[in-house]
Amino acid sequence: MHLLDWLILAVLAVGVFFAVRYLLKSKNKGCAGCRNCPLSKTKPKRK
Amino acid sequence: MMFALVGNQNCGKTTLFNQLTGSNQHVGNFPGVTVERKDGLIRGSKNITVVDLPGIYSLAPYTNEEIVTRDFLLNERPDVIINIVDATNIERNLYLSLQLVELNMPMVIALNMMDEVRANGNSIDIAKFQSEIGVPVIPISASKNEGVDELIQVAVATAEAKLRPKRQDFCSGAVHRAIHAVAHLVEDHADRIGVPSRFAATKLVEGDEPMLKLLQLSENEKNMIEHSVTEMETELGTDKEAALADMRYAFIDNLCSRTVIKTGESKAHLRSIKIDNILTNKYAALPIFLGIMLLIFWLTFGVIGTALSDLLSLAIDKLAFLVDHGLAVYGINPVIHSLVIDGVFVGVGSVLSFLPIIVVLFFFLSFLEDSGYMARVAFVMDKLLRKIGLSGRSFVPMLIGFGCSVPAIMATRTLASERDRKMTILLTPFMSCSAKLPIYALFTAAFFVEYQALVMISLYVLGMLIGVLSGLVMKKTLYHGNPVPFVMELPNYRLPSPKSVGLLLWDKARDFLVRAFTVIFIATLIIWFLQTFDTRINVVADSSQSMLAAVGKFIAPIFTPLGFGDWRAATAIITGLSAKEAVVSSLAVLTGTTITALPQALSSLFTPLAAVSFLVFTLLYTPCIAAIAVIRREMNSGFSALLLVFYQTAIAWITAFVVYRIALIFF
Repeated sequence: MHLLDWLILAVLAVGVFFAVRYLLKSKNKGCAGCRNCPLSKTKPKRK
Repeated sequence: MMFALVGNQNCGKTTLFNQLTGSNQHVGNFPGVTVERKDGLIRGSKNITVVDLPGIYSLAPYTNEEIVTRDFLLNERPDVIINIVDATNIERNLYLSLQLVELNMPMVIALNMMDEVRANGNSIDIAKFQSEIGVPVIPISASKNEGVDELIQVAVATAEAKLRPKRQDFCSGAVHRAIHAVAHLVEDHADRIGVPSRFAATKLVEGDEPMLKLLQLSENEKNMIEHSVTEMETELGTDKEAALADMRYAFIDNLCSRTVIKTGESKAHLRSIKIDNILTNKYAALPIFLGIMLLIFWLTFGVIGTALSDLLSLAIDKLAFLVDHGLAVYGINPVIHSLVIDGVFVGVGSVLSFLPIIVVLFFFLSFLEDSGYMARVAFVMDKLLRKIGLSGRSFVPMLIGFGCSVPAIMATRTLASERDRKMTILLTPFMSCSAKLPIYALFTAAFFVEYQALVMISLYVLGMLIGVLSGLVMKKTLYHGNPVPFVMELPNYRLPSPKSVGLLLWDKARDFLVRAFTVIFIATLIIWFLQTFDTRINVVADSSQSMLAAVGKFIAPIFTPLGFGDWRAATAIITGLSAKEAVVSSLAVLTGTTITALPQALSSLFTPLAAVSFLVFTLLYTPCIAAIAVIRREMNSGFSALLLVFYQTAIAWITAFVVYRIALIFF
């Protein structure tokens, strides 16, 4: 493994970190184009 | 300081909210776009919050929207209520205004759509109107940002001075006597819970059960109220609800006759009636709807979207080739080389290439929604949905379900009946969500190039058909009874606003990109890892020796009767649980090909009939994890969600099996 190999792995690892972080942050939101939907930002409150 | 935006559905609350706050909340030419409150800060101000509340027609606690709005006004007590009134439909809108006035809170009326009033040749005497109703009235046009600054100034002044409505009594005779008597009777109780006595009295006369419970009246007091109400009903010869409605409309008629000058019917309304004579015609409505959808699919998959998608595929392949070449030149480790090219580029790139199709399809759908046509479709669908025990109101969440099941399931909260709500939750996942589009587009491009639009619409219709059949089964078993009546205001047809359509498309594109680089990126890396290594973490020469193949081969026999018993197809189905687009990225990684060559590569895994079977299965099988979680939350039952997962998967398997076996007979 050369330095460049490690560099590519590091870039991918950073990508995975941000992807996982985003998914964890938005786990209560919708998907596939509903981010701006009035419903997607709310956690339901059951009465 | 807090402003509350209150008004009827589709009167322009969200448009005004966007103007006030500078935000880009979705605005639809469709009643019921807002189902929960939304907060924002007034532009250029750090201490004025504005709250957009769901559209309501009264303060009676019947629907979820009414409950949300009423609870907010009574419990959180905003500094000022901005009551948005659609000036082109002023009589009906003022019915709510009169009830808001009874809350005795600082209030401003924003007479919206005044530009349309003027365009129709009508006018309103604002000064006289304001003096009669007793609260400040500001003419505005939210969509054109006219009068909004003045509205903010007046709202701030009203809130700071705590200016309450100058009058609350709009009635006379028997209704006046009943409300007056009850108001005195419950004054202490109302003060104790912080509700205006006039509002409490009106609600009690109307027979409002939650208010009765809230006030904790004695039996004697209840009897006295009952006596007052009976006396009023006897004198007027009508029931209490009709008596109060008559009282309010009598005042409104009187007010409008003196302040509103109407020279003619709204041009937009007259135009809408003419268009509706065709589009909602008893016999032509459904064929027209299907025709429009077919045209949209043809334009998307046959003309515009596919061509753009092919171009993007070529560009991604070109980029992958350059990176591939660069990695080879620099002598990058073969495993890392494969990770970048066969994993990231092929996996993420295969999904990314469908971006143009998504954007083009939603351009047409948002055009239909913004024009007001989709509200008509809900109306047309009412008759059809009644046959399965639902009303046209359930079509609204189902329509949202064509975009994404998650907000669609949440949107069922707008349904008044718990029975209708649960049934709609269970049926919504049968509506094909947009995340499945890349799967359909890939397979139709690979196997049915000539009939892409037809296959697409057949899949959507099949999903709806299976939903209808499931609805019939539920009606006969789990959910007996009849749906609640369907009443929905049909908005006038209008030319969609470029801003609204543009924002929706931008959101769709951005979300698609975000998903490609998050959930699909991670799923791709996992799939690549599992198909590159064996259980001892040794690189395999052939992916059929990998740990993914071991798992895939274990599951694959389940799908053999459906015609796609290959372990790679089975694996792709499983990855679709995380997100449906992952089916495409998994197939791309597992076939180890370029993006443009992916359709050809699929022919080694599927026959055309097996492809149909695969499409049917992916159309109907369990929704993604995010949707399952929302179903569990909304049904308030993990068991129901689990049951739905098994039910849908079983239905998918059976339908795919039947379709495949029947197709085998004929082809």
